[in-house]
Amino acid sequence: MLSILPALLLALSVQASVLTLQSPRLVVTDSTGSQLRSEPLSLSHKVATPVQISGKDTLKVTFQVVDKDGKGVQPHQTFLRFYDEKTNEEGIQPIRVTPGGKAKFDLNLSKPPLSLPPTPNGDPLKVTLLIGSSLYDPLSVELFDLVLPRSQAAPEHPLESTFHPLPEIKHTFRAENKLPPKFISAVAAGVVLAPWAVLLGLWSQVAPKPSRLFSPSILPFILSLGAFEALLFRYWVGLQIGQVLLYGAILTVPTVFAGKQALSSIGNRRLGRK
Amino acid sequence: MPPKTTQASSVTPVNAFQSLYKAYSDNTSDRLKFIDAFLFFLMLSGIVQFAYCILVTNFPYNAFLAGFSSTVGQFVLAASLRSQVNPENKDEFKEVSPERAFADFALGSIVLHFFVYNFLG
Amino acid sequence: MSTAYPIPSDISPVTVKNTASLLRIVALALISGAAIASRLFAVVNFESIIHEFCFRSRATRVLAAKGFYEFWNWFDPTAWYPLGRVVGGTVYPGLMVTSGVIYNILHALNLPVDIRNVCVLLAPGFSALTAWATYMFTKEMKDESAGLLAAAFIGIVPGYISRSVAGSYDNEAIAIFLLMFTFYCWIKALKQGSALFGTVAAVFYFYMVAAWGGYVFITNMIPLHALVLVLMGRYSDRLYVAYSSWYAIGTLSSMQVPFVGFQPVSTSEHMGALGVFGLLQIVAFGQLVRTHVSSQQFQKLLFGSVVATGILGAFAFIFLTYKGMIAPWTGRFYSLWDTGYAKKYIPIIASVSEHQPTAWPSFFMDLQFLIFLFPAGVILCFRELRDEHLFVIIYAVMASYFAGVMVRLMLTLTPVVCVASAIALSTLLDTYIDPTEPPVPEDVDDAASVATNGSSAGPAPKKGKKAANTSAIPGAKGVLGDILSATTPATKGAAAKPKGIFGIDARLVVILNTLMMLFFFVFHCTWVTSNAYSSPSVVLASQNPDGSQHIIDDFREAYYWLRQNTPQDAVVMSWWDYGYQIAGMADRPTLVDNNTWNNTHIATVGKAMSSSEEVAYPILRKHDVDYVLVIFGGLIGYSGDDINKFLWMVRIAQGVWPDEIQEPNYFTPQGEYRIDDRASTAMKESLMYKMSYYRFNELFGGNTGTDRVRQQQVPKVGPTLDYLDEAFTSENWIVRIYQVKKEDSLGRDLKSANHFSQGKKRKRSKPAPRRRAIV
Repeated sequence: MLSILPALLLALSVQASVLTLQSPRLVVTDSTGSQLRSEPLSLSHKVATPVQISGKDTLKVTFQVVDKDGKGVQPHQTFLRFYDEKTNEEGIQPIRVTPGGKAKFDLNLSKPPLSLPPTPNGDPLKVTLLIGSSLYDPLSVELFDLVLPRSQAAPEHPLESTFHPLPEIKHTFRAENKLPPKFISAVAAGVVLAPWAVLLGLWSQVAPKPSRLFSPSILPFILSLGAFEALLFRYWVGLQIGQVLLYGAILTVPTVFAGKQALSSIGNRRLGRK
Repeated sequence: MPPKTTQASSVTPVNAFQSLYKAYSDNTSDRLKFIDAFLFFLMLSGIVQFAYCILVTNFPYNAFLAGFSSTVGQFVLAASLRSQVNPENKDEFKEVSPERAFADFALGSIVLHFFVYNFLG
Repeated sequence: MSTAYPIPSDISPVTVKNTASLLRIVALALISGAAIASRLFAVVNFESIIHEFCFRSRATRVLAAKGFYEFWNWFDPTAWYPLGRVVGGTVYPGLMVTSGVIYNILHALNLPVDIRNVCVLLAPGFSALTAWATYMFTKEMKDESAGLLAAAFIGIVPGYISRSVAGSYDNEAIAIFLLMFTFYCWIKALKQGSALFGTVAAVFYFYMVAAWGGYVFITNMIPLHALVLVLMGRYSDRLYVAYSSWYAIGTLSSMQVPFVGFQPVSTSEHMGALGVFGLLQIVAFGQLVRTHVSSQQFQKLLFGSVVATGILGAFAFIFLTYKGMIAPWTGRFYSLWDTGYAKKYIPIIASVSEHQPTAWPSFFMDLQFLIFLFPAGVILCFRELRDEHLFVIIYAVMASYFAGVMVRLMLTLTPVVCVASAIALSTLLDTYIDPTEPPVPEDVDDAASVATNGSSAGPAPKKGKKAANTSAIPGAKGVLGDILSATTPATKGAAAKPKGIFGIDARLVVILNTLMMLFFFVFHCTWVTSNAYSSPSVVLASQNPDGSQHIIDDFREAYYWLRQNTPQDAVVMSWWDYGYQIAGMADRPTLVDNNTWNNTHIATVGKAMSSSEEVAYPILRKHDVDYVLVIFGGLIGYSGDDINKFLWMVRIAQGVWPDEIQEPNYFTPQGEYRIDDRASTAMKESLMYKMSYYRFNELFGGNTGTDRVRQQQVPKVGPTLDYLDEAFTSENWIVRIYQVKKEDSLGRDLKSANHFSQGKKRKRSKPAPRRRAIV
């Protein structure tokens, strides 16, 4: 009854649409019904020592919701919230309030309500009373800390896995090709070019005299063949395929004529010689 | 040209090769030797490239393939030219005169080089 | 010189020659015209659309609009959603490039032709070229008249038309021309020993590689021919020149096609060609050496080295294959040898109807009387057995086998059948049209010849009497003597008598018969073409009871609906057969399409289709599927629908998830494939079944409906759908499109949300306590 006074004071000090509790009280009893603890609750500060229940103990919280006139009110929503600050687990327990504003909540640990959150570490749960009504200001009062016996860890929610950021996608690329050392490349290039020396050496021995290579009938053919090679080289350096085909087609016409002329002149020479 | 008969008496590989070489150098015209030198050059070049690919790296694989197939392609084209202009094969290539053979060779080479450059990257 | 019928004698040989060549040109032009015209049934009957409105036409549009290099680097993000597809590296670009070039040339000539029309008419145009190439090819085999016959055959034979009607924008459209022309160049190169034709063959081979995966056929045919020639001791320098120039340039060029890449030097299919190339080099070198040295022992040495090299090469090949340097034969290749292979290991290949073994009637359907003449032509090739005849024989044997294994390869058989039959028929006609009478010894009385000449013996004795000169039958006929003796009754009775045909009546009987057969052939071809091969696959035609044609255009209706009513980026899931069509006509991203490069992705779709809704839904959501499209023919009896393909989806999915999808579950306990009341649970639960028969009963006004394809009654209570919404069903129910629901906004699963909205009471279930005491 000591607590009524501050409660009344509180109720008076705020404006009219404020709800308050009358004679809120908690009682802890053991399985045999003997009272272990019983003390009033306060709206202004929470109970100093955490409430500890274990085994088959029962926690009982009673209060009456009243408006400023002390008349019992049935709010639209009344909840007890159990909140574990460490693990962030919470449980919301609706409380049935009579039209006269009287409410009673029993917590029997042998049959814990579904909403009671797990306490794997035995950490205290913060118990908060939440009252909401369309006619009054909402009320949120921290009542006391509740220490429950340890329980198993919270089961993982089936959709838990989908609520994590996906692992970053890592693209694996083919390993970069390694170029051989400069020295080996240079040596190999030298070796690859070496047959040219052999070729030139052999040709110098057996080459027939290019006597008629520069005669006017043959030279255009040789030149147009050279032009083809130059064109293809240019293709490598930077022409596009369409251009190459176009220039090649253009180049074909004089080449064919020059070739026909050159080869027929050679042919005539050969046949004539025979 | 009738094939030159060698002495069949003492046939060891060394001897055989010697006689082969002798017969070759005696019986082949300079014109064909000219082509043969080119063929030999292409063969060496191809072998060296292949060895490089096997021993060192095949990294720009398309470049290797382009280079190697250019030597192979050029080799077979030149070998074709050689067999076409060879007077011994005259009966076989009735429709291909030596001039026509050279034209074929030129065309084949240009097409080949086009693809080689295209493949070189 | 006696003749069976009068021939004018006062014409100079030059005139005859000129007239003959003019006639040949005219005939070829007419054949080309016929070849093109007979392929236009599709355009006339329907309209100018591309039948397999597919990816290639889309690619061609890109090519025409953006140019070659853009096309090369084109990455298509809408295909194979969400993977995308690198187009440049995964297509044979030949077809697209061809039509792109034609399109650009026409535009350069100020002929503003739509690219679609270029695509539609490409195949008929190339069929005319095919006729010409076949003419050239057969001319090398026999003579011009055989060539003309072959050209006429290939022009209208249904086996080729089936792939080249106007609007079938397919790789095969140009590939057959390239095939024939490459072979022609090869024969020409071999005959002349010309590097020029070898190079041309290589260039066309390159074109073929760029155009069709069937290029492997050439890759193996030509080396096989060369190898047989070498083994028969017919090696010549001409062979060396032709083969080497073809192989060296052809192989290098084939590696330019990105899709082929380095395969010609790394896969087993191409190794035969390489081996023959090496063999020819060795043989050529041996020949060269032999011209210089002719010691007996030296030759032995050479022989030994050749054999040793061959064996070493074979071992090296086996070793490299074993080490994985050379890729082993691909699955498609195995399925050519073992027809059951594909079904067991690669269901995705077996699921294509084109890859099934050929049914017997289709040989007659596609080739008609050519199939009977074909063996005769091949046997005639044995008579002369020049190098090129050997080619036809090998080609005939290989292609016959392959055509028996796969329907699709009927196409490669068709040209050789035309060539061989043309040879046979032209030999027959040559024999019977030839006016020269065989010489008759004086002592043979007329009665004998009358008797042997058959029933109408009118003018025969007269002619027989005139046969007094001693000119022998021309050489070509002499070669045919044996066959004629077997086939011609004229010479049966007279074993000692000279062989030949007497009189004009015997000639007329045979020639008229032949002509009749040819006429029937033409009728058959026209009928088959107009009825069987000219319907675009997206437009179906049926006959009304009064005989008029009824066009069923459900596909385009549905695709147009998709195009108009769904957002641009809505992903459509369907079986892969329709991927290209959806991409092309509806312009929507698809999950899988006809380019079946990713088996797993296809199996994912198969799994979604064959699992229950609850299992399929996460798959659909994970792939961002907005719409699911199924083809259902049960209402009008369209048998190519998804329920009939369903088992393949199951099989392909089973290949990847053998634990979750099992084929036997979809059969009744008696092993039947049913869709009625007795269908298995897995079948009834499957998404495909539900989507196909959803609300099917409502059509029948409360009675149970009948599936006209399966001829079965559907269950009285139709399937229900919780995760999908019916979005569209086409006029004849062929195409049904379903929208995939989004997750429920209240976080319920869609099944209970659906139950809630239908007003069904939810079963109250107690939520599990979150707190469990430590025991």
